[in-house]
Amino acid sequence: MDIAVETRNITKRFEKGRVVALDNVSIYVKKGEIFTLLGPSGSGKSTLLRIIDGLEEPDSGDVFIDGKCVTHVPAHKRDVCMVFQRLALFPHKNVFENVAFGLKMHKIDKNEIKKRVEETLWKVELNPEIYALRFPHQLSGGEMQRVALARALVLRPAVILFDEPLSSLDKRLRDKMRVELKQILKRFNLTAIYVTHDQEEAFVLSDRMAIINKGKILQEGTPRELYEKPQSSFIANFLGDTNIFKGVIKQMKGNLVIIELQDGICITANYTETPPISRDVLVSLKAEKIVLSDRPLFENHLEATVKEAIFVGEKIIYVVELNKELTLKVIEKNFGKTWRKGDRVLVNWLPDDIILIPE
Amino acid sequence: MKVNVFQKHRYLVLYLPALILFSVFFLTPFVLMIRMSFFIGKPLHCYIEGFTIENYLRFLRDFYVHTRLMFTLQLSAPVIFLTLVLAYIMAYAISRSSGIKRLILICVTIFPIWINLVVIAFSWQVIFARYGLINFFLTNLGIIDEPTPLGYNFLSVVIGLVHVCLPYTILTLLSVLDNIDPTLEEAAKDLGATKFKIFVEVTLPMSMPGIITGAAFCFVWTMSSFVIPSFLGSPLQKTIGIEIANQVLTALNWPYGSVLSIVLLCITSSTLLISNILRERTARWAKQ
Amino acid sequence: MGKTIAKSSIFLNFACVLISAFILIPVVIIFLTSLDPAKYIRFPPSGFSLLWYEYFFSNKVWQNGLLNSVYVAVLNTIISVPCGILAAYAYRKYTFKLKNIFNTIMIIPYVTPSLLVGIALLMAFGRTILRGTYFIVAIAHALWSTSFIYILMQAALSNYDFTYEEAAKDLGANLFQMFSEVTLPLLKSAFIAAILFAFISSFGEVTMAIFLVTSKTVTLPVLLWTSLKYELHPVATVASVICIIFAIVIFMLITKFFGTGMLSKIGM
Repeated sequence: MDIAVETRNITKRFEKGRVVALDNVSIYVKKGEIFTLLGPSGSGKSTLLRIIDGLEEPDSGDVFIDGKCVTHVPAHKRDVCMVFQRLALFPHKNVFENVAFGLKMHKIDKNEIKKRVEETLWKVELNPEIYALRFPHQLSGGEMQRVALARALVLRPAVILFDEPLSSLDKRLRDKMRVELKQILKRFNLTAIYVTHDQEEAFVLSDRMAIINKGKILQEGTPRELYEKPQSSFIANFLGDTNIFKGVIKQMKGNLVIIELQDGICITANYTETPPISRDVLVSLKAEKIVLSDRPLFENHLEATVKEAIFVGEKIIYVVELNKELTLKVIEKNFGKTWRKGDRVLVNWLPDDIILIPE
Repeated sequence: MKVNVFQKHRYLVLYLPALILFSVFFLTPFVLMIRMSFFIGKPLHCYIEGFTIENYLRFLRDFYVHTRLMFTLQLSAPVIFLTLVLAYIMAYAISRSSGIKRLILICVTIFPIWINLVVIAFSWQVIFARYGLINFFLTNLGIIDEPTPLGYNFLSVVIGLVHVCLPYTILTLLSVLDNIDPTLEEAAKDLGATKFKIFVEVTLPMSMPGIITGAAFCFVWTMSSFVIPSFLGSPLQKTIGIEIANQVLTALNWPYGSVLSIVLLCITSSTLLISNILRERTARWAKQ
Repeated sequence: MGKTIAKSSIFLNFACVLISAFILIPVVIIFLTSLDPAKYIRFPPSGFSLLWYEYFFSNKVWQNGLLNSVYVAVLNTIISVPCGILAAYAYRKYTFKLKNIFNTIMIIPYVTPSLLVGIALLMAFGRTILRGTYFIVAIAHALWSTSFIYILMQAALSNYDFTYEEAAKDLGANLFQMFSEVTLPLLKSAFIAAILFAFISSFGEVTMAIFLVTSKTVTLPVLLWTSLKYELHPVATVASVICIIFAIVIFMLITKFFGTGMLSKIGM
């Protein structure tokens, strides 16, 4: 396993140590991998990126790039490039000069610069003949993204860092650009670290991802692992629309556990890995894993009343009430039978979809 | 070690040139001035080294200096009032205009800042002179028969000082007026306030920080004025600034000049300090 | 309702014109009288001639005054522009504990009366080798200019995005390359404005200069001051016009490079 970037026990404090931005963070990124750091704003994800880039120094811990410790190497001497949140395309330089900037700083021969800049512009699907002489203010949002990417690509860095570069685009263009970005990164087998607060973006792009909150890495793994097997209520909550309940384990037989949520409302769940340690557990159930029906579909079902039905186009969001204190969020496709407020329904799910989270 | 401090605090390196400049050529001279004020003062001898508090005692008994101080305080009242009124009107007009009109008004406002004080004083002298602009109009309109010199009195000093204070005060007020959210006035209008009411209830209180700073600025300028009153005033209009310059340049009694300078410095800096506190307070209130 | 608005804005416009006239009339009067060949200053001018301009430019003393003013202003610019810009840059770029204190220190010379600064410098250096040199006059001006440029550049830098510099560093630029390729071109007009401001504020300064110059280093405004103390000689109007012309030219350059938006930040 070839590791491109690794951080070991990075800690960083701001404001004279009062705010801990990063707390003992260790991550690794393999060569050719797209690694995403997903977290809410203020979680420390951008700080970690800036430390890897060399724009900030950690208070303790080390950064390794291609196996070499670069903790105290300044940004301009590191083999990494960043695509900034607001892109930071130099407004006084045209596309060619922007892309050539890094090469010029490294004192590379003029002809070689021209060759490499044009080659890179082709890579990001910009025709140099059309775009080379344009200035950033003459470009569309998507074109600016590509130039920013080209400016980093042209240096052939060991890893490219992305600091939420797509966040300024409107939704439609953002969706298109993230697919394109992934294609480009994969086509040239590039290593990337991508920081975002957008769950969907992280899922589309990542090979592997880590969730970070309050300066700590909570869990890392493939998008699927994180979604299906969250190890904390924060992650369960953060990814997707999730119903989370407190419960008490009543009974365990084989792989099955029976959990009492409240006054006699019991559900059955599977556990495959280590059995829960304490009797108090958190139970998570994704909103889209629930099926509403008028007669029982699966073994696990409960009676409920539809409190609200919200139409959002391709799907319908229901809020159903099991009793006065227990409500569930359910997402169904806008297909087949739909329900109205006040309808009595059955709530069905598979035991496999109930996830137990250690409290 | 030293390198470490600068690497850790990069801002220090960048502040350093200015800090060196200020500590050697600003702080040190003022510290030396305090020392000077305890030397023995002998007219026409600059100073004799020694230690005495006689200069301070002299200040306490010096009736003439007291009258000059009082006069300068009296002078500041009309200067502050007139400047604020004129500046407020101008700043209000600028903040309510846009495009070319705003540009022209700002240019008119700022441009006199770089014309030196002597030229301004001199041009008012020409205007007030026996054969100057005002007398020309007055005689031609038949209001007076014989041209009379109009300068060298209280009024001409006030006018000169207002002219000097005006640009800075307008700009100070403008920055406050520009920051008032126009929707506030619209909201007041929507609630049925008349134009006058809107001004009194919304605009004026919101611009209080600017008014306080502007007034403090005019006060400091008048208290330390020297070039303008010595051109446009008669000996009756001698300000404390002129008296200080006189002690230093003509009487050559530096220790006593230092005492008077220190007194003036205390007056101006405490004014600025108080105005700053007041401004913070009104600004906080204005924000709510 | 509509009528009252119209009325009040007529009043406002009228007041504006009067105040503008009050600000500008002295300048106009000086300009007109400088073209009067008469030996005594009077209004209206008795004729039109460039007599006093010829007198001014053929007189060694006045010529020297003009040159001295330029020397002092250039020297002041060299000292105060880097000091002020660097400090303002640090203020915008870094956060640190003593920021407020540093900021106050930087503004103090701007609000200290020039009269007192001039006197303090005279007493401190009046008996040293620096007495009456261009250097000490320029330094006196630089105290005020540095503060002033600091305030102005703070305003100019508030629109400046420091990410550009980070991007440059990220792409391999060292400190010098970053400055010459990114910082300088992006802040060019602000820097030019700072230079012009420093020059003109020093060129017209008189209060401090009165205490610090000798007959050798006397600047134009001080020369004007001393000559007017004795008599109202018409050549003084020419000297004044020269001062005004310098102010106008620089003022126009500043508006061209800097725009009036930033100019209105001069207030406190």
